[in-house]
Amino acid sequence: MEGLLFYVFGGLAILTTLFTISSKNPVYSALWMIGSFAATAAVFVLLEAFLIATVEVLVYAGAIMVLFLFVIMMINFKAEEQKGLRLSPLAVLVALTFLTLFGRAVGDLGSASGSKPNELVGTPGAIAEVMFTRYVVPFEAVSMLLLAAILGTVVLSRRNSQA
Amino acid sequence: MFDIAASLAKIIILTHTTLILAMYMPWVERKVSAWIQDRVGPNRVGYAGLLQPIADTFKFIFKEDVVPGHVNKTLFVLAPCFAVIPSLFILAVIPFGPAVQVMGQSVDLVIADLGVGILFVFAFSGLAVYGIVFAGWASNSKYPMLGGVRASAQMISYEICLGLSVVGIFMGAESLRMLDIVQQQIDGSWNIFTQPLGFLIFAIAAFAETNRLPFDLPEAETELVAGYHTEYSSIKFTMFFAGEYAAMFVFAALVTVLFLGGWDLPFMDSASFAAMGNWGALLGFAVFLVKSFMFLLLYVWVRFTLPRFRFDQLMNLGWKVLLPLALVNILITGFLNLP
Repeated sequence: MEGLLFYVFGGLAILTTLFTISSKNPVYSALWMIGSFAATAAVFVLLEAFLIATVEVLVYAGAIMVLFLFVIMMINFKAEEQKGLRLSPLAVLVALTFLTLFGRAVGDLGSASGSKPNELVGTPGAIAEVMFTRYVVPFEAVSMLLLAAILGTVVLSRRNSQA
Repeated sequence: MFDIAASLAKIIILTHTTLILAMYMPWVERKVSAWIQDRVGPNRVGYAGLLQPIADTFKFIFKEDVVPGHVNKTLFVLAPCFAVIPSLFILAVIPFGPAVQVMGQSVDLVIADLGVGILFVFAFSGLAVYGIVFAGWASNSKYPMLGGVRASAQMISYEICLGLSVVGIFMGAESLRMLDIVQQQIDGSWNIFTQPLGFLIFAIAAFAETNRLPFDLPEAETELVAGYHTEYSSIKFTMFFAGEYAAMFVFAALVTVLFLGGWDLPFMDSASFAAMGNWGALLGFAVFLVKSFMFLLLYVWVRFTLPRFRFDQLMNLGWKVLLPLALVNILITGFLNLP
C-alpha cells in the first residue's frame, strides 16, 4: 500500500515539476509548483517525517509561493508568455551536467530498500534536540547569514529608491 | 475497520457542524448588527427569520452562474474551491471534546492527532490565500486584481504574527499536539490568563487572516467594489462566502483550543468528565461550541464597532506593532519559564 502511494506521489511530483518548467503562463507555472511541493510533502508523510512535510507546505507551498505569485502579478509577463519553452544549448548543457551529478549521487546512495525509517526521527522534539545541541553552531550561523541577506536587501532597495 | 468508521463519524460531525454554522452565521451577524444599530433584522422567513439562511442558499444556487468572457476560465473555476478547502483541512487537528467510549474502545474526539498539530494549522491557513489571489488574477479586471494583491500582502504579514503569538503556548505545554495543549490547560490555568499578550495578538491576526472588518481591505466595497469576488456570481460567490465563514469558525475553534481551555470548565477536571461517560463528552463538545460561538460573536461585535483600517495603517500595525510585541512575548515567556 505504502509502496503504491510512494509511486503515486513521486510520479505526481515529477509530473507537476515538468508542467512547472514547460508552462507558457508564469501563473500556471506557479500553480504547478504548488502542486509539486504538495506531492513532495506527501512523500515525506509516507516516510513518517511529519515535521518536514508540514514545514514543506508551510514554508514553500504557503509562504514562498505566495511571494512568487505576488511578484508575477505585479510584473506583467506578456512577452515571456508568447515565447514558451526555449531550449538554448547552454541550458541543455547545464541540465545535462546536473543530471549526471544527480545520477552519480543517487547511484552512490545504494539501495535503501527494507530499512523502515525510525518513526521518532521525524517528530518535532527529536529534530529540535539535534538542532539545538549537536548542530547549534551551524544553525546559528545560518540564521546570521539570513539576517545579513535581509539587511543587504534593505540597504540595496533603499539606495535605489533615493537615486 | 473500527478506526475508519470512527474517523468517518468524526469527519462528518465536525465538517457538518462547521458548514451549518457557516450557513447560520450570516443570520446571527444580521440579527446582532440589527440589535447594535437598533433595527429589527431579518424576520420575514420563519420565526425570527430563522429560515432566512435556507431561503438565501436556494436563491444563491438558482441564480444564473455568469462566467464573464474576459476571465481565465480554469483558474476562475478553481479559485472558489481553493477558498473553501484549506479551512476544512484545519478542522482535522482541532480536538472538539473529551474522549468517548464506543464499543469498549476509547476514541479521542480529534480527527487526526498529529504530533505537529499547531504547525499543520499554520501550513494550511497559509494556503487559504490562494483562493483569493487566483480569483483576483483570473478575473482579469482591475478591482479583483487589486483585491488579490492586497490579500497576499496582508495575509503574509499577519501569518507571521499569528505564528509567533502561539510560540509562548507550546513553550508552556512543551508540545505541539493540540490534545497536550488542551490537557495542560485543564490541569493548569487557561492560556488566555497565562498568555494575555499572545491572545491579543492571535485574535487581531485572526481578524486579518479571515479578511474581516476592520481588516477587510481585499474586499473593501467603498474602494474596490467587492474586491476579489467582484466578477463572481451564484454558487461560486457562495463558496467564497461559505469559505469566509468556515474560516471564521475554524479560527474561533482555534482560539477556544489554544487559549480558552478547549472543553474545560473551571469547576470540572478530566476525571469528572470521564465519570459522566459519553454524556461528559457531549457536554464537552457543547462547551467547546459555546466558547467558539462567543468568539464568533466578538467578530460580529467588532465588525459593527470599528471602522476599516487604511492599507498603510494595516501594514504598520502588523510589522511595527504586532511583530515586535509577539517577539517580546516569547522573551517574557522564556524568562518566566526559566528552570
